[in-house]
Formats: sequence, structure tokens, C-alpha cells
Amino acid sequence: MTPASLALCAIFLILLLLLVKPLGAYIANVMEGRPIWPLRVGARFETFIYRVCGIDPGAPMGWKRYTIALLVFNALGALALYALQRLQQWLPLNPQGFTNISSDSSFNTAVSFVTNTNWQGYSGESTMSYLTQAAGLTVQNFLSAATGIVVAVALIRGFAHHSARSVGNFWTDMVRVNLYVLLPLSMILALVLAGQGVVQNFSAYKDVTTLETQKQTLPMGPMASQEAIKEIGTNGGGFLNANSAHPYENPTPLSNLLEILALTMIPASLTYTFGRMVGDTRQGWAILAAMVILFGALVGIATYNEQLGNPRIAALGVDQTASALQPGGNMEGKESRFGIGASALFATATTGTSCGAVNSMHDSFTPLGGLAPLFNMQLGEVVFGGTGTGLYSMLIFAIIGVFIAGLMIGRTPEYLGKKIESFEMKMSSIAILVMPFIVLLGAAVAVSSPAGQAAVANPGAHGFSEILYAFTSAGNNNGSAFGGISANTPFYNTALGLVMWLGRFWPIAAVMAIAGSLAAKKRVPVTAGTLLTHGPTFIVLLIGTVLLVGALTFVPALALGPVVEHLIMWGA
Amino acid sequence: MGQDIAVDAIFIIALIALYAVTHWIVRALSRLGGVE
Repeated sequence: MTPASLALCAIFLILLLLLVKPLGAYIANVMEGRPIWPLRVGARFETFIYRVCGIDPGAPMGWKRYTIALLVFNALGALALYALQRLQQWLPLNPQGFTNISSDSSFNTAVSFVTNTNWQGYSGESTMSYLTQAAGLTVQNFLSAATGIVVAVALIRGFAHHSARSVGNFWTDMVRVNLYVLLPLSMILALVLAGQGVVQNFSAYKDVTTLETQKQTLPMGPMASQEAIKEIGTNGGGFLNANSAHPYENPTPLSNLLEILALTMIPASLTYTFGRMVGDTRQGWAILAAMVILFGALVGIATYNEQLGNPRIAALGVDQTASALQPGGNMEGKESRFGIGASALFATATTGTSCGAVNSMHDSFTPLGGLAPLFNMQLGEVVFGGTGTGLYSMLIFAIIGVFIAGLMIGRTPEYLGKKIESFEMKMSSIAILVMPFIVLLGAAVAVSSPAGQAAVANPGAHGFSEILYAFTSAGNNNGSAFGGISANTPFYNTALGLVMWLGRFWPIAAVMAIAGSLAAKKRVPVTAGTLLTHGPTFIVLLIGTVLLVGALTFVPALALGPVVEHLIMWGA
Repeated sequence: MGQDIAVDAIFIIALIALYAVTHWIVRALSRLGGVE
């Protein structure tokens, strides 16, 4: 790693850690309905929304009712987004006159945006009308991000409450997260990004003549507003096909740093929200410490391998060492305004969260440099994870960790004063196992079927990595693409659509069941035999659990893809 | 046109089926744990 890469990483982590406490405390205040000034200012509008929608904001919901409300809401969102795409040529705000999206692509995109995946088999600037982008995709960016946060908050309430039947009210939680957290943050970031040069208008595309006297069409549209929630909500779906690598979405090194901060700040801050709501902030810091350690290791692997470069290119006499005149290393697929450090940092942040935005082409990373983001997703996206999904997935690992520790010392496992029993372990197992099952099954079907193979442009180990990456990205609701496969086909649109839905809502069902079960339990007092869950031992235990589950599940598949490719590259 | 509508119907039914199966799983988990 170069000093510049290290400095960038350090600046990013310092800024992120400075944001954790204020933002986490603010989210806790919002979710607990404390009378802070934004809630007092927005109270009338909030009440108006409840009245129009016929919501009783104080009505308690058990976990089942909460989850079914969540499912109905998201299913209706998917149907609406499907319809919007299939009817866009007859709807307004379509100055380019784009035709309707194909049915399989509409299905894929509808599921993709409702599940916070934002996998994009299409090219936004050449297929989607402004109405579809703004009223369909951007709206779902808000709603899907809020869905993740409310599930995490429901689970926190499970730990915080005792002998209770309610985990909150889904409708109130959704309104508050959107109104007081996502919308204000997105408006601020959209303005800052527009100030950096990100496009924000509803103009028709511009035809210009280049210096080489060629005609070029420049895409226009409401990009800054979509860009802001794309990062803050860890959605990742770009207005443009090149995503955050495009100068219209991410024009400067400063906008790049802000985007990385934006996509990590809510997931990281929710650890503090967790600590605040359970009454012991040390619990949140311990979870955050585990996330930061894993993040540091993964960004180190990615940056080191990208800076190392490609030995086959070095053999041709190309100088790949970093100097004052060049970034060195492997610059293929990277923007020169970002370089290796900012590209590897973005890649690690976007795959550790469920964002999936990219500022470089992960397909062009070195085998081990590309393994880092792939493995980051396969860990279950807990570093720092998606908005809400990261925290609740990490808490599931914590439950498994204390259970394993309990087995080792022969005591009934407890976490935050709640006994972890058979039901919680069954649900945790479901929440953990759904993702690897659908990812590995989907990848196996794709590599063994003609429809799956036909889309792969790179045969061999790299082609396998591309397919594995696609299903890993879909199953974890990440949405970033390794590239290299033509995924806008009926097979991939349908298969990845199914995987995205199952990877999102089946674990949510299990997590909500845990929330309900924990909320109903009594709190047991701390004794000499209680495992402290805010100290270094617990942090090591948590990291070990995450790595062990991820490694045992995915290392065989990784050995067939990036590891083989690495050995071939360095062995030749 | 007719074929388009048929394909649309298939995908809409698929979305509803995904919801229905997940809804059924929630109910099944609820019975398993005995907590509403």
C-alpha cells in the first residue's frame, strides 16, 4: 500500500468514526419517538401522513403482524415498479421516447430495487425514462433502505424490551425513518454532490460535437438526487450504466470520499443506535470494533493486490511501480482521477455494505484483489453491512457466537440478558444458511446450464468467478456486478430475481421471529458465568464466527475461481 | 400483444407467489416458536 492509500483509508475511518455517535444517537431518538426538534417540526406532517393512510401510530404490533405488513408493503412496491417499467412509453417524463422495458428485465429490476439489491441488467441512460428513474427506482431506494433499518430496530427492541408482545409499529417506523433520517440526509448530500458537478435536471439528452468532430450524446437527468439515496440507502443502482465510475455521478476525489462515507455512515452508526436502545453503548462499540477490524483487513488485501500489479504485464517490461508520475499497480478498469487506493477502498466499502455502487470495474481487479470484495459479500455483508441489514446480520452472528461460547463452557448462552435457546438458534441458522444455499445452488445451475454458460464472455476460472459473483451479489442484495457476463437475458433476469427475493425476505422472516421471541422473554440477571459481550474476548469471538461461517461455506467455490486464476497468473 | 400479456401475467403471478410463500413461512415460523 502506498502512503496515499493508507492516508485515504485513515481519513475515511476517522471521519466515519466521528459520525457514528451523533448519527447513531439521532437515529435512536427518532426511532424511540423522543421529542427532538426535527420530530417536533415534522409532527404535523407526520400526523397528516398517518391520517391520510389510516394508520394508528400507537398501535403495537407483534413480530408476525409487523413482518406481514412489511411483506405486503414490499410486494405492492414490486408490482408498482413492474407496472411502471412496462408502461413507461405511454407515461410522461420520457423525453428520449424510451420504449417499455422487457417483461423479464422489469421483473428483475422490480425485485432488485425492492430488495435493496439494485442489480442492474440494463443500461439506465438508454432504457429508463425519468419517471421510471425518479418515481420508481429512487422511491424504492428510500423504501427498501428504510425496510432494512426498521427490521434492525425491531430486533433491537427484541433485546431492549422484556415480557413484551410488541416489536413496534411497522408503519410508524417506516414513516419516521424516511421522514427524519433518509430524506434530510439525501437532500443535503444531493446538494453537495450537485456542487461537485453531479448532473441534476430534467433536460433532454444533449448532442455535442467533440474535438475530433464526432457527434456524442450526453445523458442528462435527475442524477444527484438518485446518487444521494443510492449511497445513503446502500442501494447502489446507478443512473448511468458506469455507475460511480462515471464523472456525471462521481466527478471528483472529494465526491468519491463523500460517497464512500455516505454508503457506510448509517450501517456503522446503527451500532451506536443499538447500544443506546439496549441501554449500554459499549455493546454497540464492540460490534463496531469487529466491523472495523474486518474492514481494515479486507481493504488491505484489495489495495495490496491491486498495487502489486500483474506479473504478466511486468514481464513485458511495463513499469508498475508507484511513483510521483503514475499510480503503478493494476490500473485496468480504474478511473485515473481515483487511482488504486480510492478504487480499492470504494470496492471494499460497497461490497461490505449492501450498496453495490462501483467506481471501478471489479472484473478488472487482480484475482486476489477481486476476491476481497467477493468474500466481503460472502461473509453476509456485515462489514459494515447494508442499512439495517448489516446490524441485524451481525447480531445473528453474535447470537451464534455466544451460543458456541456457551457450549464451550457448559452454560446456557445469554446475550444482553436474554437466554439464547433452541428457537433462537433455529431461526439464526435459517437466517445464516439461506444466503449460501441460494448463492451456491444458483451458481451451480448457471454453470451447468446452456443458458447460464451462454452469457459468459470469459471462459475458465474467471468466467466461473463472474457467475459466482453475480449470484453472491444477488443473494446478499448487494447489486454490484463483476461484469463480463451478459446478464440481461431471460435466464439471468429470472434466476437472479428469485435469488434476490429469497435472499432478502427469508432471512428477514427469521430475524423478525427472533425479535418477537426475545421481546417476550424475561431479562436474566448478570452473573459471574455471564459472557461479557463488550470486551476484546467477545470481539475476537464475533470476528471468528463471521470468518468461520464464511470460510467454511465459500472457500471451496473461491478455490475454483479467483484462487485458481491467481495461481495461473503467478505460475506462468 | 397477446403473448406480451401472457408473459406479464406469468411474472406478476411469480411476484405474488414469492410474496405468498414468504407469508406462509412467517406463519410457519410463528407456529414453530409459539410467539405471535
